[in-house]
Parts: sequence; C-alpha cells; structure tokens
Amino acid sequence: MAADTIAKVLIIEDEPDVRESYIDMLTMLGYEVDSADNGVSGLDKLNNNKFDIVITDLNMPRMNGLETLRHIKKKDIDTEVIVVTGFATIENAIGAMKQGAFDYITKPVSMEHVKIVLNKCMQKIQARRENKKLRTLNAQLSELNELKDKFITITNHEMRTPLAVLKGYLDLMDMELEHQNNQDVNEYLQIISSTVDEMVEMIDDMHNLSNLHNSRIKTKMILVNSNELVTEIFNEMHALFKRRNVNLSIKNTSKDFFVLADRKELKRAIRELVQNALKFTNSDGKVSISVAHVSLNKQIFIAIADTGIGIPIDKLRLIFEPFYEVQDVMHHSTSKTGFMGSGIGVGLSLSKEIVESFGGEIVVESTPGKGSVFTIILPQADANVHVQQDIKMQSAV
Amino acid sequence: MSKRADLSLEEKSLIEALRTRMNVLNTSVFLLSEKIHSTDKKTNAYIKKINEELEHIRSIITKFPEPDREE
Repeated sequence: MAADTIAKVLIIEDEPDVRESYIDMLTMLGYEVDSADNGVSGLDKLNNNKFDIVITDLNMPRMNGLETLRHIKKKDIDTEVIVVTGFATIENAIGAMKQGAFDYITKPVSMEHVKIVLNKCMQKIQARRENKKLRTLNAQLSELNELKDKFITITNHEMRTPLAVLKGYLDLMDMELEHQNNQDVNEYLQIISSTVDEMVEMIDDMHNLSNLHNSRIKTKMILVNSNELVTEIFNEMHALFKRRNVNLSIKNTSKDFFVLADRKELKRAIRELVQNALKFTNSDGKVSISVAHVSLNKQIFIAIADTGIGIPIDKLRLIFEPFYEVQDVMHHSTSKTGFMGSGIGVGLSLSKEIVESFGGEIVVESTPGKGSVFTIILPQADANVHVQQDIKMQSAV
Repeated sequence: MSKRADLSLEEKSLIEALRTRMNVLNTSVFLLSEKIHSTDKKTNAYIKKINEELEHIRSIITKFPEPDREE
C-alpha cells in the first residue's frame, strides 16, 4: 500500500482474542490499526481521531454493531463501516447495509475474504478522494474563469467607452487648436492620440486572445495544402507590401504537401508573422515566404524571412510574450503595417499558441540590422491516411 | 474572490502595459494643458473632460493589483 493511501482502520470487537487476531491480520495487510472493545469506546475513539474504515462486530454488549453503525454514519457519512457477524443471516446483513454499511464479513473470518472486502472498500475511498480533489480543482477553475470573465468585461467593455469619449474630446480639441500651429501642442496631441489608439488596440488584442482560447474547442482540423495556403496569403497581402514599397516574394515546393490544422487559424498565424515582417522592414526591403519539405523528419517548414531591423539576441526569448514591447513607446506609429508601427500586441504570441496547438513550433533566427527569419515547423500529414480516416468517420455518421 | 485565483501572465502584462500608457497620457495631457494656457472656455472644458475620462480609466485599472516587482 502506497504511503499516501494508507488507511486508518478501527476495529470494534468485544472478544480480546478475536480483536487481537484482527489487529495482526490488518497490520499485516498494511493498514494502520486501532481497536476498541465495545461500541461506546469505539465512538469515543472516532470522536478524537479520523478513521477511514471501521470494522465492527454486530453482537456486542452495551451498544450493538447496528447502533454503533448508526452513530458512526451520523457523525461522518464518509467513514466506511464493515460489519462482522457470527450470525450469518441475510436479515442482519441487509439491516446493516440499509444503514450504510459498506459490506459484511461472516465469522469465522477468512483472511482472503477480509482482504477482498477491504480492497473494494479502499477503491471506493480512493474514488471518493479523487472525486473530492476534482471538485476542489473544478471550483478553483470556476473561480479563475470568473476572474477572467471579470477581467475581459472590464477591459473589453468598461474601458472602451471612456477611451472613445476621451478620443472624441481630443479630436474636438485638435480642431479647436488647429489654427494655433504650435509644434509642441501638436506633438502632445499626437502622443495622446496614438497612446489612446494603442490602448484600444491592446484591448482588442486581449479580446482576440481570449476568443482564441475559447474557440480552441471549436477547432476544425482538416488537411491543409501548405502551398495553397501560403499562396493565398501572398495574394491577399501583396498590395499592402507594394504600398509600403517592400518586396514580397513567395517560394512554394514543387509538389503539394499537407499539414493537419485548422485552416483559418493556421492562416492567421502565418499572416501575423508576415505582417510582423512588414512592420519591421524598411521601405525597399524584402520579405519572402517559403515552403519547404523535410522528408527525413516528415516536416513542413514555412519560413518568413525579412531584411528588417532584426531582434537583439537578449530579446529573442521575450518576443512571444503577449504585450511584450520591442520598441520605445513614444517613438512608433500606431499603424499595424507602418514601419515600426504598433509595437505592442499579441500577434507573435497568438501565432506561437496556434502553431503549438497543431503539434508544431516556431523557430526564430535574427541578426540585428540584417533581418529575421521566423520558421513555422509543422508535422507533415499523410494525405491518404487522413482522407481515409475522414471517409470512415463520415460513413460512421 | 479568494487568493487562489490570479490573473494569468498575459492579463497581468496587459494591465501593466495599460498602466504605462496611462502614465504617458497623464503626463502628455498635463504638458498640453500647461502649454496652451488657454482662456478659451471650450478648450478648458475639453481638457477637463479628458482628465475626467482619464480618472475613470485609472479607477478601472486600479481594480487590479499591481504586479510584484523583482528586486
């Protein structure tokens, strides 16, 4: 019996020899044993100590077994009681079971029978303990969820209104002060405006992160053609790069390869990395998206490389933290695609979380001043196997 | 709420980031109001309203405890 599962057993038996034999037997079986010579002294011991199991004789002077059982159950319903009777009648057994006894043992007691009954009893106790632990854990999780909900409500709903109102007054004041053409005033107005925008954006990001966590259970895993997905992203984002005068190129694998993922979420993860590359690449710079297949490990690599500002080595481990700020708060624009724009957020954190949920990882290499490469590594999915499984599942439905 | 429940790292980070922005806003609004020295009622009213909203936001943020700082 493991140390954390040692059960305390109280034996209530009026005959000294029999009592001693029970003590020896149960001690040998690994239980922590105490004893009492009648129901009344047994109840006294129960009042002062916690026992998991009580083994009581039914036929005893002063207080018989059934009455003892009633008192035990009244005091603590979780204490398991096994009754021992020398009168092996069905009535006695039924009477004891009706009052909550776990089981009964007939005299003369056999060690094998005791062992079996006690094992069953211990299983019940363990199950109840596990259940209790789970209930406690569940309560803690509910409490945490409650706090999270409160947090989301406060940040997402309560803060939006004052920020919007503040922004409104700021715009009015901007119009009012426009004619003054004071450089300092304009600078302060600009800082206030961009800071408010950032706060709104942060709250949006937090909401997105929360939605992502909540939508995890709705994830729809399908076979995703990596070439197709990357090409789609390239087509959608091409114009954005052109506007910023950053060259975006794409390199697919000659053959199509598949990964098992939620297409929408994987697309979002890649888009965040591509957008991040655009954000940190100067005009006339280059960003490339390439797909590669590593046959040895059966992996698909989707690499987003840029010729941007790069990331200092000591910051590399921090960039996937939500709301981590790489830049100086005061010196960037709020645009998500402008150079050095929108320095805070959860984009990389989101990407990492999404990719990891598909059994993949994101690796980053960077040289400050030269650029960065973010590589999504995903397990290659066997198109035939997964299609077959899909068909099986569909036919089962 | 019991002490067991706590905000996650990302939520604490958000609150911390919002606090930083609030400091920037408070300072900038103060400097702005000092710079304009306006006798214009409208501008003063706007500054007053902005400060009221800032106070409102500040009171929301202070509902959450400040993170423990490492020495």
